[in-house]
Amino acid sequence: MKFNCADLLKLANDLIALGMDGRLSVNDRMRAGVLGERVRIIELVLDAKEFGQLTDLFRQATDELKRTNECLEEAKQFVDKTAGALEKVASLMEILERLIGVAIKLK
Amino acid sequence: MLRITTRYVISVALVFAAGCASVDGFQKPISDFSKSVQNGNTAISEAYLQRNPLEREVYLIKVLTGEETQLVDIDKNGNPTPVGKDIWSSESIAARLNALQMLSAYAERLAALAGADAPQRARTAITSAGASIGNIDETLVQLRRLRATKDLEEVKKRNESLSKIAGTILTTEQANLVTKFLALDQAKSEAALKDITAHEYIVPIFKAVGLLCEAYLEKKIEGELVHAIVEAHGTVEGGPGPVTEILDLLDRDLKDSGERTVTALNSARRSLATHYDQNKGEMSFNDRAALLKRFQELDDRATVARSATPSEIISRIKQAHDALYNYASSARKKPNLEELIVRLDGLSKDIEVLAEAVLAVSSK
Repeated sequence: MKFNCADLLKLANDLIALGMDGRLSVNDRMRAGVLGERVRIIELVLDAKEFGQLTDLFRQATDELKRTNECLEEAKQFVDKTAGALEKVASLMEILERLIGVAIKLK
Repeated sequence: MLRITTRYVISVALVFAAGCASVDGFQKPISDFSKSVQNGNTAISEAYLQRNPLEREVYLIKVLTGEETQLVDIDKNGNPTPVGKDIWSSESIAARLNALQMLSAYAERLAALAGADAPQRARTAITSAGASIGNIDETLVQLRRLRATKDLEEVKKRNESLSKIAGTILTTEQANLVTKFLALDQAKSEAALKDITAHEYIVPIFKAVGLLCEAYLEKKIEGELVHAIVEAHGTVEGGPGPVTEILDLLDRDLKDSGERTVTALNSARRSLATHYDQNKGEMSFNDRAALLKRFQELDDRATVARSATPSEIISRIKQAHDALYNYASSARKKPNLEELIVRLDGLSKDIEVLAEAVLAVSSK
């Protein structure tokens, strides 16, 4: 079973784009860009991995990713909501890094 | 007599010309398909080979801008960095390159079948199929000689042999016409025993027999081409053939590949932009110019990568192969062949442009 990397790639793209958005504060731009790079690397690693079964962690990561993408979609329209969205991305990162640890094999 | 013979020659020629499209017509679309596969493979192979170097390039830009604080093989969390270990293993890339090589080999085989040396291949096939005609050219020379020496029995034998082949490879209507023609040839040969001007009609008869043999060769080659394409493509009932399977695998594999390249290039350009913003006050004019030039290079590559992806190339190769299959498995009429030629010519041009763009993204 493979993780939904297309959604993860979209998240990385959106964050990197926010990192170049002059409407954000310098700090938020920096944070969005660095998080985008982390998501990008995690996506590359997860794309090369397979999972044996549908675990709670896998389900949790999938749900959290969906929510984070929705949250970021909203933040792109209302820049003042960006800080909250970035918090959500940071907590998603922790779940994804744990998920990488339970992959069964490399593709 | 001579007029009747000439009329038959023309009739036979018309029957062959008005029926199915010949292998000559197949040459152009197959040549376009082969060219598309070669162009596409070059670009896609390069895209696969550049995956790891691109990740190293992005990592080194981040080290340069200070976003990565250390230049190390293993980061502080114990994970290898792109300079410490390839993200895509050499085995994984080799498997994909092998699949691309198989596609090339298939396209080359089709091109060889439809190519200029195809008649020789077909002659071998005739011999191996057990037909007694042997070497066509030699047989034609012998026929001429036999007629010249008025050896009627031998002429009969050869004509029977040709008639038998015609019966197995042509439509009933075509075979009947050929048999009638050969019977006429027979009658003429008998008449030739008494007719001193026999050589006058030997030439048109000789040409007509040559036409029959050419038609046979074309049928044989076309049959091999159709068989190869249908086997490689597969059918709805029998499932996908090996070439369709390879194309589907590559299609799925490359789906996100273009997007990943764009994201990697955007990540690198963002890192440079942030560095520029934060340090421009302390940078010399020349340093700023060098950094902006580097930014522009990345920007150009990202722009091209957004408009041309390896998966678009595979998708078009697939469309071209589907079109070849649809034609090969149909009645292969001339109007369909004309459509096929236009379609594959267009796809071949598209692929050429896309391949150039994909190669441009890889170059630094």
